[in-house]
Amino acid sequence: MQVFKLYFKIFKQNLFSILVYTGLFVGILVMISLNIRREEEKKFTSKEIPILVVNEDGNNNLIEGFLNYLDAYVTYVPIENDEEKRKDALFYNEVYYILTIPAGFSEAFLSGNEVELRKECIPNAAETVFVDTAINDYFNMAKVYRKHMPNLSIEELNFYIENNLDVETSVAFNDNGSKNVHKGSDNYYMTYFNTLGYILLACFVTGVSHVLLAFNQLDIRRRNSAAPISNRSINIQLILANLVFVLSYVVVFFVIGYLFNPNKVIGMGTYLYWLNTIVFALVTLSISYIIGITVTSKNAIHAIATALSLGLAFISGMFVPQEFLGKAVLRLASFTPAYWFVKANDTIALMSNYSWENIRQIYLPLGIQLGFAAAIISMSLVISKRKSQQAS
Amino acid sequence: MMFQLYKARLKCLVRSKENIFWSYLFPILLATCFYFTFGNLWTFEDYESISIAYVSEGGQDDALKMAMEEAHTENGTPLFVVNYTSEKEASKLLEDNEIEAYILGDSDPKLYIKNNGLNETIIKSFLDSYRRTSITVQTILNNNPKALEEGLLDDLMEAETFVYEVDNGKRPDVMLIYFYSLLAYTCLFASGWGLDEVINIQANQSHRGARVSVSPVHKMKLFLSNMLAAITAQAGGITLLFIYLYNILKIDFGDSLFPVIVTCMVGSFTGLALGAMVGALGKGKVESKEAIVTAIVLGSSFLTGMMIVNIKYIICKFAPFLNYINPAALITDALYSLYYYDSLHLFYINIGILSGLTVVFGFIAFLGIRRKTYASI
Repeated sequence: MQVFKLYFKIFKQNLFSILVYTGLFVGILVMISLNIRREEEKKFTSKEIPILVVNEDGNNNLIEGFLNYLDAYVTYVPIENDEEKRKDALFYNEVYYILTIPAGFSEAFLSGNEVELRKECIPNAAETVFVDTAINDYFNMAKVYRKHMPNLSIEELNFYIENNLDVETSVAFNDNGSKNVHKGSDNYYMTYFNTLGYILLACFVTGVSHVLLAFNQLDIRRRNSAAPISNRSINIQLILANLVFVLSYVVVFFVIGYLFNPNKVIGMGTYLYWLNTIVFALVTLSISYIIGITVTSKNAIHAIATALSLGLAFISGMFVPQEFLGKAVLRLASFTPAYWFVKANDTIALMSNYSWENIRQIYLPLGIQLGFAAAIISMSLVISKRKSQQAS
Repeated sequence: MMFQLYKARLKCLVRSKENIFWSYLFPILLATCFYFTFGNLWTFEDYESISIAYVSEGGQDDALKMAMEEAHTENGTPLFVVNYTSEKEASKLLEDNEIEAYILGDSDPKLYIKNNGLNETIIKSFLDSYRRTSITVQTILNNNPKALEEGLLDDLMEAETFVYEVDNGKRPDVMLIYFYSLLAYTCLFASGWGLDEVINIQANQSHRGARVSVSPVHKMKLFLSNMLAAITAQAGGITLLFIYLYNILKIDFGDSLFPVIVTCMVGSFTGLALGAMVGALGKGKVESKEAIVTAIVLGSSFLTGMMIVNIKYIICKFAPFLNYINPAALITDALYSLYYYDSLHLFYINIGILSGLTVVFGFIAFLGIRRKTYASI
């Protein structure tokens, strides 16, 4: 096991840089976890969209009633009425929506004329659409009431509309909704493990290739070829050493995931996420290995690590959920192992129990990932063999 | 003489084909991935009907059933595919992920879901609005029985839009932050070149450095020509990326290109100076210095929102000062302010601080490498 030992000797010599990389990726992971927690908490208080209302029409019953109604959906943020300040607020997402009620709006609306409210907003955001709908709903309803019950006073109108809006469809989870928490596969974990895919790629491609570079220098390679150890044995020992390296990192990442999980539950769902992550770690290891033995320039390795990790993360849904991605992108992504990693995570999150039939659904994505790993490792063995026969 | 040195170093850089190839190609690959990801995001062009089940005792004239069957998107795709089943069957279908949700009852419908996602929200808001409308109809009919003849149902169907967007210059666009921060990352990627140049003239860091140190050439002269060569190679990559973003992906960079180019140039210098500074500081191993540079560049891009844009807003909210010392954030904000604001005020602030940082980095690097002699290595 000389090669195996040598790997860790080199590792030790590079300890400082390895620690710097570890610090970087653990830092990123912690921030991502905190972000997921924040987003998850926000989901339960979705009625708190920050908006700014600029009322140029003055106070009257209609507007008061309307703003009262809207209060159920949004939080009013006071911001100085200054063009620059308002742009800043939108730019930094302090508010999502700026609604301007123009002078003369109420009068025109009540006399049945064409009216327009003005908005400035963050385009394409779900929050914007939500506020749009709330505003349009109110005035559409008010219009219908006014047309068919012309004698209605504004107070009565507001009363009716509020009554209307009290109605909300009750939503229930098919089987006890809190079950998700107990099985350890809550939304936090799904998002956490999906983004972990990026960290694995970025961290391992950088880390593994870093150590392998030492083996890759021409003189060292020549020296190793002259040693009475077969090329295959060298490769297998190297892969084993890398495996130890990768798996110990994976354990650290599992611990971080657990520590930042608000529910702190480990269950069958968590084990399935772990299994999937370990399988994907094997894939990233094989990718890192093939890069480590083919690329010799350090700058190039950093460039490849960035392109590969971020590129795959974006197209296969590690950062943006797969349900939001276009079909063509997903089809392209399905030719990469990252897609199947995310797919398996999403499938695990959907499982309501761990019957044989449910668990069987992740066999295909896991199998495809293993297939990728095997194919890439075989390719790197061939390349390594070729390289050992080359003069330069 | 200086030109000779510059030419020789440039040749040297360009001949490392692997390095040039990947340094030039990686941002283009990434831009393509961003483009594909965000191109389809938020559009409902390929909306797929949501499969649901409806459990009801109502007969043919069930109003909710009719409403669900008739609902469709703007381009005609039906909103739902409705299965009519028993409650038990519906629950089983939901369990097997055959449907997204099922609805129970008709006068007071109840929604059963499995997890909370986009489709579930669509179903719920559909039901909410259905129920509100039916209450409106009841209230109005109680007060004005003739309302139906007066076209109440048609009026209800005719939902008007009351809010209109003000055309107020540029709209904020989250997608651009990804592309701008990628451009910032690529600028700062020059730190790799900067680090190499410093390592290459320090006798205790590389063989080439040792050789150069005994040659009869002024070290600063050599260093400056090498840096010039590095910035030339970097400029090639940035130009390629910019042409790709601007001409092929048609990314909006605001009205005038000159300040954008200035930003890219200053950003590249910042990257170069950053790498040079880390290279010149301390006697650590080259590998360690590389790790530090990578961590700084990747970390600062992460804080700018290159991976997850939300991080940018979190920083703005909880640690705004970070944005004023983070080079990637300065470049990104400078580019964004060019796109978004009419005045150049914010651009000048960002580019000013960025230039300041560059000078500081450069000065520290200069202090680190000047007048160094070695008794033994």
